[in-house]
Amino acid sequence: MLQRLSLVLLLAIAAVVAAALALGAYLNYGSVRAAYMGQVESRMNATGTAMVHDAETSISFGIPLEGQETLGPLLERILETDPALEILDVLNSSGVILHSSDPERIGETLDLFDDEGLQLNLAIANDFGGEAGSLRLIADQALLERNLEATAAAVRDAALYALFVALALAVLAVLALLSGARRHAQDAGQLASGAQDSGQGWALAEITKEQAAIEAALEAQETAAAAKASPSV
Amino acid sequence: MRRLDLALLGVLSLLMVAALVFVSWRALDSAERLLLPELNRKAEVVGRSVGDLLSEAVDYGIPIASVVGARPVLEDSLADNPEFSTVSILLADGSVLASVSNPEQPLGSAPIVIAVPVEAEEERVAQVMVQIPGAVVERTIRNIWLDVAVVLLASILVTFEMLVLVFSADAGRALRGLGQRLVAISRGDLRRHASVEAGGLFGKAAEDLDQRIAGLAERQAALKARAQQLKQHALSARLGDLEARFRIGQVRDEPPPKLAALRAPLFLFFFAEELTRPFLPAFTASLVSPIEGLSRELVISLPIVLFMAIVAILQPVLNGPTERLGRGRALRIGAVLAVIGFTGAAFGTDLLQFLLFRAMTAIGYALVFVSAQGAIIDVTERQNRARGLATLVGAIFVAALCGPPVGGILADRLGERETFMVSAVLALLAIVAARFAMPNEPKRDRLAGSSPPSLSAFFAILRTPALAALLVGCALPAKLILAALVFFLVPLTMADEGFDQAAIGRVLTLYALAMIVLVPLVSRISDRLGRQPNFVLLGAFLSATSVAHPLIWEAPWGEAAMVFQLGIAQALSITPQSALVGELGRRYLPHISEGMVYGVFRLVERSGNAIGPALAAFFLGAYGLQVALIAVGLVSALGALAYLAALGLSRSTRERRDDQ
Amino acid sequence: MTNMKLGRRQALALLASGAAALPAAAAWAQSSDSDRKEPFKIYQMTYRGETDVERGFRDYLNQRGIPVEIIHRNAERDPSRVQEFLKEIEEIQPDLVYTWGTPVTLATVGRYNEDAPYDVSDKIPVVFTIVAAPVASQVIPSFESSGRNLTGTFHVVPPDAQLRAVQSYRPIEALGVLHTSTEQNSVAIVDQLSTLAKEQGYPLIVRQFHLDADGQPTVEGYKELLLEIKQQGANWLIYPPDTFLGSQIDLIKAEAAALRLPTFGTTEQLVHRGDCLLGLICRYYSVGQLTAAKVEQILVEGRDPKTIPIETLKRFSLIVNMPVAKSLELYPPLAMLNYADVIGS
Repeated sequence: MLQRLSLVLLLAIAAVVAAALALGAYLNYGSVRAAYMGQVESRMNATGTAMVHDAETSISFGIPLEGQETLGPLLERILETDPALEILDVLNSSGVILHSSDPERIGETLDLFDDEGLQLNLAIANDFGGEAGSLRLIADQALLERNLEATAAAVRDAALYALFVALALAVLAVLALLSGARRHAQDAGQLASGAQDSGQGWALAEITKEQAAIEAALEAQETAAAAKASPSV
Repeated sequence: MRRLDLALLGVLSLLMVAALVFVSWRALDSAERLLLPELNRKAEVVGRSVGDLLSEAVDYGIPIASVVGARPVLEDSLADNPEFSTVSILLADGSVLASVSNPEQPLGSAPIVIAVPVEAEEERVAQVMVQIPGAVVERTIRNIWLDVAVVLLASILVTFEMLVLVFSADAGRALRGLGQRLVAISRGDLRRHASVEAGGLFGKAAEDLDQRIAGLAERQAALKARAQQLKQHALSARLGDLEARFRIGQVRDEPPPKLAALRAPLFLFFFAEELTRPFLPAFTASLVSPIEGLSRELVISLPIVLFMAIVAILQPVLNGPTERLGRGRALRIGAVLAVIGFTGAAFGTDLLQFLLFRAMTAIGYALVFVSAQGAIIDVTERQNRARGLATLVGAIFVAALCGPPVGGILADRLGERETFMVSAVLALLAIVAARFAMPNEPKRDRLAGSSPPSLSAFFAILRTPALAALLVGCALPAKLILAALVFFLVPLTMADEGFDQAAIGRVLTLYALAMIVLVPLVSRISDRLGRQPNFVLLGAFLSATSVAHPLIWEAPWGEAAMVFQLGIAQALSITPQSALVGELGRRYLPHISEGMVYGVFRLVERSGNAIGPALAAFFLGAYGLQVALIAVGLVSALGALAYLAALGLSRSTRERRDDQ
Repeated sequence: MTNMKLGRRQALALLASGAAALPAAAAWAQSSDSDRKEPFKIYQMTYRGETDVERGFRDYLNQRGIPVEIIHRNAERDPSRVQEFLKEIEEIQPDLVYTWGTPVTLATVGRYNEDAPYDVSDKIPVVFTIVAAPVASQVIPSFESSGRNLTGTFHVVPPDAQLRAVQSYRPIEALGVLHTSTEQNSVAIVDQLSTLAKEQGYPLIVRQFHLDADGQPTVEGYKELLLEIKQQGANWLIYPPDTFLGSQIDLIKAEAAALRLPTFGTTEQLVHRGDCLLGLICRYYSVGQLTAAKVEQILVEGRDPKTIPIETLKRFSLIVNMPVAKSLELYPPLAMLNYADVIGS
């Protein structure tokens, strides 16, 4: 029965500790990932906003997006300076690529939802708020994931290591619990038999003593009363 | 150390703290290697963009020293990049053109400095310096420390519930009982314990101790009788002293140890439902398609209103059926319904399906609640019933404390639908735990316990001004404002303002936190002081005024202050209110059973849960958040005023009666 | 946390841009698929010949692949010539009539609240542009709808936006304005400026051109007027849209420069010809594009002109004249280089 108790205890503890560590580790990793992605995105945003501004100024001077021949080389130059970027496209309002850091993409029509990774779409507007097109920045997802992999591994290893140590210590704690339990049973046995009344059982000892004293007093009274009842005998 | 179960909890808590701190530390370490280069690159981009502007100015022929408005440019880049500490422009002669610092990012030790040269007409005219505080990566990660703390707290609470479950099994129960006995004896408390009802080494040991104490109690009783018979008052007094000191012959008012097993399934079940709190309104909003004649907000409130209405209506009528079915079986059926409900909600695609599955969960919720309540009432007597029911209330409170923040984290990390699945799994575990905690009892035909509130009792109570004013003026608005704010308005509006679910969950948990700390305290004080109406009124006043916080403070602090004050308010009124209902029932309607009075009380009170979100949604849709908050607060304030008026009225009639 | 939010925001942005792209794409597809061999006939009347407006107009239609045949007529600053054009319109029966400027537009469609001698828009949709104050000049009753077979665009930047631009260059201590008391349009603008100046708490120093015996404005005495403005403490001089002022701008700008008074122009003409230090204007090219967008809605999408609101641009161009800034030693704030068009360097 004790073995079964220990087993159930260990299983329950293992489940809770593993779940807590998994959630804790995931939170840690998730926040690092979020901070990293946030930084990459904010840099992409800064790069993109400046480009959109230039394109919009050109539009208001009367140069349509299609005609902004400097855009292509500019896209290629930006791509070289930021390793996190994979592709930069300028699209018209129907989603046709007009300029791209990868010239082979020019003329393709892209589904706006085709990429799962980190990408940024910034609208390029004309002076009356109409949509002239958009700038799309696509991050090099594989590179980002590779960079994150080291953190993922570190957190995973730490969590596994912590789990292992915690479980080992939990086994010790349960063993200590069992030995404590045996001592308790012994203590209880001694208390029940009155063998340890001087220590933990002080209350038992005192009450027993006091009860005995009162009983003795009562007996004395009874004897006295009995003597009074039959004085002649 | 005699309470081995508590010692184990302490050791495990420490273990988990250490493990999570270790994982966080390792994450921080590797994050620095990842984020620092990235941060430097970002500082360069920011520095270069300021530098480009300067070059442009110089190229236009503006002398670099005459450049105006550099400061606003630096302020803008610092506002866009709050992790930087200082951005400044240094001219070639070493003078500073402009420099802006972020007071929230002190440089600290070992700051990182990025210098970007500014060239114009092939000459270096200035440089832009970006300074990053040394501990910036740590600060980035510090954002999740609250989340990790929530996980830690929740795991410790869950561990506690698991230990309670394990220690309610035969051997564990005996071990725990033995520990309790040893502690009590060493403190000189010789009251009789409820039997551990277990064999084995520990069961036997506990039994032996019980026998020794029972022997002493028997002897005490016999001595008392003899002393009385002999009219030995001095000796009787000495025996009395003994009883006062060691409480010998008294019975501890603890519920049967087996009842503790009920806590774990209840906790798991309510925890499953509480997980959904922070994201339910926003999730509903994502499913909503316009319904003619109803505002969007009203439609969003529908699932909550339906849920609460079903629970309010079913709770009074389910006692009989659960008793006939057997409490354990009824509880498991309820949990099965909830599992189906959660799973369905996870996969539901439109509002109608979602409503249907939420209704199933609501039926399950009512069944579980009533079965658990019934099971506790079945095995307790009058003197230990309150402690027994504390098992149920405790499970609900702990679930309400750690459910919303954990649910928020899960919804953020895994998604709302996945969190519904987690709820389904937890409800499933609750079934397993319940199977273990509540063995099948035979079906019973006898109908004991309270019957559902009858219409005649309902009207008799509502015709009694003092009771009606308390129920309609205080009890109903209390639940109304709770459901309107905590279940509906706060999660919905915070989500609209862009807060993540974890933040919403942390705000919602403040309610349970205030309650858990204050309810025991208040019930002790109000028991001693009496004056229940004052507590109830103070609670209503605090509830009503809590809505002012979001109008004054910025989100999320306004919301947090509101939810916390609401928790304090309800903690103040909840116990005194319940005591007052019983007292007023006995005074004005002695012919109606107490159970019936409480049944009506709960029904009226819980209908507030259903009305609250609907009311809040109506005002939110028609007039906006501020009006909705004020309207909900007004209901509470008006109710309290009505109760105050009724109180004054009944006092003056009583005085008049006394005068005659 | 942040990554989730970013993720969601990104998704939203995608959705939004996707959704915005759809109608445009549909319209585009429609116009290219419709295989219209016959181009739309547009009868274009201008006040003083072709401007950037017409260039923007044409470019927009070309980029959208809308086939048009534009018949251009120049009124040569004489609105009475419109009568001949109307006869020609009767013969040609174009798909749409385009009018440039208030006089040509009024001669074509009349005022909304009086019986026009002949209103083309009875039969053929009319789109007007460069009508500075279409409501004040009673071309339309409100900007939401003309109530007629008519819509259009205008090119004036709202006065509050103009004052914001001035303030962000250098805070206004006192604002000077020189205008013509007989020009409705400029009086209305000066009224608005005066209200705004009161709200923002600085004096508005108004001087009007003197009138001759016939009640016509005369340039005589302009130097004294400008000197008074300068002496009353004005640190900015604003040029409102004012035809007479425009015709005398060469004299005015020389005197303002002599007084070292920074100037602000409210139309593209005034900014360029008046050597303004600063100007916030609607680019004619963009106004032409906006006008073409209205034409697209009528001819391609088949919308009733009555339902198309009369609008100006959403974004204006801020123009900084660097040589003037240098001579005044009054340089633009650094951030302004991000969004201003710097000219003359």
